[in-house]
Amino acid sequence: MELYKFGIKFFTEPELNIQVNEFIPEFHHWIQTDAVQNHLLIDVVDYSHISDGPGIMLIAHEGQFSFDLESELPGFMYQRRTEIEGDFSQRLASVFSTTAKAVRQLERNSLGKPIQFKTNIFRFIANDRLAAENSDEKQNLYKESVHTFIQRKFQGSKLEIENISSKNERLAFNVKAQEDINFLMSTEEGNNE
Amino acid sequence: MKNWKEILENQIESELREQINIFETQIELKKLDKIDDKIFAETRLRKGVYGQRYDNGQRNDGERTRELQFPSGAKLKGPETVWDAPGMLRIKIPFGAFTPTQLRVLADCAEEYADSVLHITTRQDIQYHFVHIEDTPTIMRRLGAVGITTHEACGNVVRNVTACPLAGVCHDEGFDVSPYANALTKFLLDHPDCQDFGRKFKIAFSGCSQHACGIVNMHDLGAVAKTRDGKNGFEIYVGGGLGAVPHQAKVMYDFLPEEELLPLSQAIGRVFARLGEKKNRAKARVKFLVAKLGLEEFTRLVEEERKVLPHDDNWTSYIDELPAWGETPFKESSILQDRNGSALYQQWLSQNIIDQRQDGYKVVVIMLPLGDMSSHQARKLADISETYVGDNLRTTVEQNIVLRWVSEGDLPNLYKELDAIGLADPGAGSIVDITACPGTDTCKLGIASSRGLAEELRLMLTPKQQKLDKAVRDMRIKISGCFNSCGQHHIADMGFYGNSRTFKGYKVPHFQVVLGGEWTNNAGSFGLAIGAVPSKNIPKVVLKLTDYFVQNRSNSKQTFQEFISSRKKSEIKLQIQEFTEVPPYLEDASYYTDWGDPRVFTLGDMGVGECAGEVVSLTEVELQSAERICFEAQMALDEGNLEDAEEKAYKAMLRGATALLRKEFQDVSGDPDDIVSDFKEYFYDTKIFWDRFAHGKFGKYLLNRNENPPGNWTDTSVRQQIEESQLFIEAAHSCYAKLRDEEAAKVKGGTIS
Ligand code: SF4
Repeated sequence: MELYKFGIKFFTEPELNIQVNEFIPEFHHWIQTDAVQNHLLIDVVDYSHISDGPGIMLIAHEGQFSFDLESELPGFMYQRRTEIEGDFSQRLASVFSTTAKAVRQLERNSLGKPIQFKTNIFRFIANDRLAAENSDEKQNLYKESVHTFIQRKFQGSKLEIENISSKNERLAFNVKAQEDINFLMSTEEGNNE
Repeated sequence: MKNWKEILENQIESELREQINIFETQIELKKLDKIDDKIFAETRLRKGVYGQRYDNGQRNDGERTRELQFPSGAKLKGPETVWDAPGMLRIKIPFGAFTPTQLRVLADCAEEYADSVLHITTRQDIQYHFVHIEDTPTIMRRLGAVGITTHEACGNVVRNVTACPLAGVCHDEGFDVSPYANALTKFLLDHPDCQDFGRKFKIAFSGCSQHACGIVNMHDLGAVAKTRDGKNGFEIYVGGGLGAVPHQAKVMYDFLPEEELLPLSQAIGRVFARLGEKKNRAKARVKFLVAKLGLEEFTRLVEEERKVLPHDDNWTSYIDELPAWGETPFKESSILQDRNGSALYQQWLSQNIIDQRQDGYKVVVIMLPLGDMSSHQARKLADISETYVGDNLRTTVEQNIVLRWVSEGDLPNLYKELDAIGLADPGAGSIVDITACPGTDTCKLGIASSRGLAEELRLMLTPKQQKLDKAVRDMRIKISGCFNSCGQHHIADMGFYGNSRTFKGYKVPHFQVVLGGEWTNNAGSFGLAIGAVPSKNIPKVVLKLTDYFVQNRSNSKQTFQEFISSRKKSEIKLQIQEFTEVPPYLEDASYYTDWGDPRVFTLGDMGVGECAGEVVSLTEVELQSAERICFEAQMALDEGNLEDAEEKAYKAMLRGATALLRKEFQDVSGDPDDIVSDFKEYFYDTKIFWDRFAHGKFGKYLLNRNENPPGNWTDTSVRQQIEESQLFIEAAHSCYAKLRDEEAAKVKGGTIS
């Protein structure tokens, strides 16, 4: 499993009533304060005029963060662009952790804007049609890996995995916890803080 | 696991495959430092691999200028261009024609290698941003496998050949220019006679001369379809162009038979390669060569060249295939029975639908805000196209997409499907359909945020649109981030180009207001600069001027362009006067930031401003007065006083030079020769006046005028002189700001140590 270009997305709560471009200053603030560990933050891009697009992006050398608007399901996504050491589960751990930390940081934003994310569901998106083509075989492979990873991280969680990508889209699926599990609060990260 | 190269090996046309392989090797050699920076830069440009803002490894984050510490360190991909820094990839879409299959691959690559957005340019290309150079060969292969190339998308070569997006379906065209644009694209791509140009070479086709779809007037070479005695041919234009100083193209041939189109283009290419300027980029476009030689001599040289060209079967081989050319309608024609629907649907029907020549079919215009479409939208659009129009898709120079051959009865369903993916906004071809170049978002040369302003105007005007007077609704707004006019501001009713002004030590983003450009008649005339206004006041300027137009036009049929050319410039300038003021920073800090960007325009300068105090320097006063004289030159031109206008344009430059000299010396001579000589010694030869990218170009305008006073005056030459004068003054403003920055740095350095 050579995939390293993949992303994780957390969705905002549906009742959220914010304009994504209100968060442009927050991303600039992240650049000023070097807010994302091990990332060279480069620039902020406003795509809020595209109704089914990446919204506001924070471009880093290592990956792209976006407060995205895809399919009318606003959320925060991190997509890795550069290689990460280790096997797939280590890469997944790294991307998952970067995303979760960034989401929590956005919740505590410096603008004082209230924003809440759904904590028991996330989306996995493979962004490499060579390493992870959108076939049944690959879907199963990555579902299993992600499932194993989450079960190890959040022990005993019962998961529902929902296939959401149509044939021309990237390989992607939603992972939903049946219990009230908070994917944004992993023990490892808790220890770090 | 096989890589894309292995997988796509047999799906890419052999020549293109070889070009991509060579480019990949060049990348490897550059990584080993075996290619000179400048040579590699031109090599990658010719592959469409462009630089992007901050690729020099520096960025001001609003508080300080930071070094961007990329893993590649100091490794470069061109002069001052860091290897790892994200860049832009331009993808050629000849005459804008593309298919759903291609669109899917374009969407896939945008996701995997760029920022998931496809950006349509004003030359019908598609651009990706935030691409790593090492990904480019793979992108080229994936695009190459579906027949798309980036080869010669940038660099000093023949760029994407553009054409009317309605070619083949338009009521007014002489004939369909698409197959000719296609043949010329193929013929000139990588042609040995087109590899040694001093600058880029742009070609456009138009089906008629009255509409703007092809805008041939602003191209190095333009061809307008014409028939004579039942035979196809072209009216040929040469030497047009926008850029810093716009030139209207000149008619080279009233009628050129179709079989001469390719050889003539080749002959022009040869003459341009041989005689075009090579050292001074600022004078290296065909327009300067035509101006220097005169049209007659240029034509004579081209004809001589044509006579000695060795025969090439490709000149005419495509003509035999013309009868077979053409798009087949994907569906049977039909009639729209029921026009009922929501207000937005009605608006879409009236603004985004164009009648085709063929009964029962329509062209649907998809208006893309800022020319952008996400990869999701693109993929879904590909599906929709396959349901309704098959392969009949085109990009437009107004940064939109058109679906051609829509069976009329399908319009309600098509609307619903486009609406579901956010691609059914009404307003195509209206005041809300604003064209903007990338500007400060991604362009290295951008001064002000053209996209930010465009979006602000779009949001302001969209809700008002239906209440606007029809003549206002039909206006075009076009915005460039700097004087280079990639946003085509010269040919809009209202054009804006970015610049900056220093106000009490603070830099303030501004836009120069350019009014009265003509979009119709193939971009029949260029607008004139009226004055610079703080960026944050431009929306008020738009409202004020449109209101002023409606209140004062001679009749309801008069267009904005006609209105502007009928009024005195001083009167129009008066309308925007109240918006030129900049409030003090402490009163309203928003003026000191640009649209959509909370960073204060160079925070370092703000510190300087506080040190420098509140006094307005003599230099600033003189620069203002230079602007005023330049404006008077425009008014004189308006009144037909060519000699006076030219003299004033020169005086404005002299005043700008005096302003800078006064900064350094108390006594400045009033004699023009002394001013020019001092300016040359202290500002030009020392390169203090030089622009980072344009180098000595703007300073040369003054030196040239001083050395070669004109003996005769034409409307075109005086207009050009005024444009040059305006640019000289802009450069003087920049130079002054640079000197202030340097002083501030010295003061700051002294304080700290
Ligand atoms: S007009 Fe200026 S800012 Fe805009 S794309 Fe061209 S060079 Fe860049």
